[in-house]
Amino acid sequence: MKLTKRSTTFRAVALPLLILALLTGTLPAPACNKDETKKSLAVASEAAKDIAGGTRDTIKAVGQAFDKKLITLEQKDKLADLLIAISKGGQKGVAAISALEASGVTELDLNQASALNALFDTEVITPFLDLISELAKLSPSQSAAIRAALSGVRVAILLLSQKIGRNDVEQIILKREEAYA
Amino acid sequence: MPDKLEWIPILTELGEDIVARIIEKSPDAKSALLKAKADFEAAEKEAGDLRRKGHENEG
Repeated sequence: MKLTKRSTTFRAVALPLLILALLTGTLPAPACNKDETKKSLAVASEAAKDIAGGTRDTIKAVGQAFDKKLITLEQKDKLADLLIAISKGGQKGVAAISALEASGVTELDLNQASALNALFDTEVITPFLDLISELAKLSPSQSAAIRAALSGVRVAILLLSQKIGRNDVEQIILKREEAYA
Repeated sequence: MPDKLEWIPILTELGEDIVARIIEKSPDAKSALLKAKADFEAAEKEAGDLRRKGHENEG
């Protein structure tokens, strides 16, 4: 077969790109439920990223409050322990979402949904609720920046909880906040 | 106790960080997850440093 210059160029450029796209899964997926799930996973991933960033902001704010002697050593230690717990739990959550993303899961089965929910509850929501309780013991002037930083984490947690079908999380958080209002 | 006004520069800096993060959207789920992983790992280290703060001279 005689190859023209154009077809040779096409093969030289397009073929490696096509192989690369197939290997990295960057070709557009057909319009089906998989698209929706990919979108949900993308939103969940973005929310996880925001929880992580907000956690770092909160750590910084707690450090500054301690440096300015607005909170005691004991108060700082309690908050730090909870922030360590959220950081470790967040890593487990990211690993779980990564595994789903990598295996191309289109719909969670009961066991997967249950495992993801249990992980979210024990590793992220529980220490977050405990942080709300600890902050409630501080005055507004002691905790202004910490609360501001934590509000970013709160928004991202609510977004993530919606994406994994946990609309009850908002009520749980509100209940805890009202208990200490 | 320091005046409430001392929080203003801290809140301003914090607000800038939050806004920067909101604007900076990841191109795809993989990038967001990589950033989340890196940030959570950094957060664990920073929270550990925060926990040790003030205990440096303890036996």
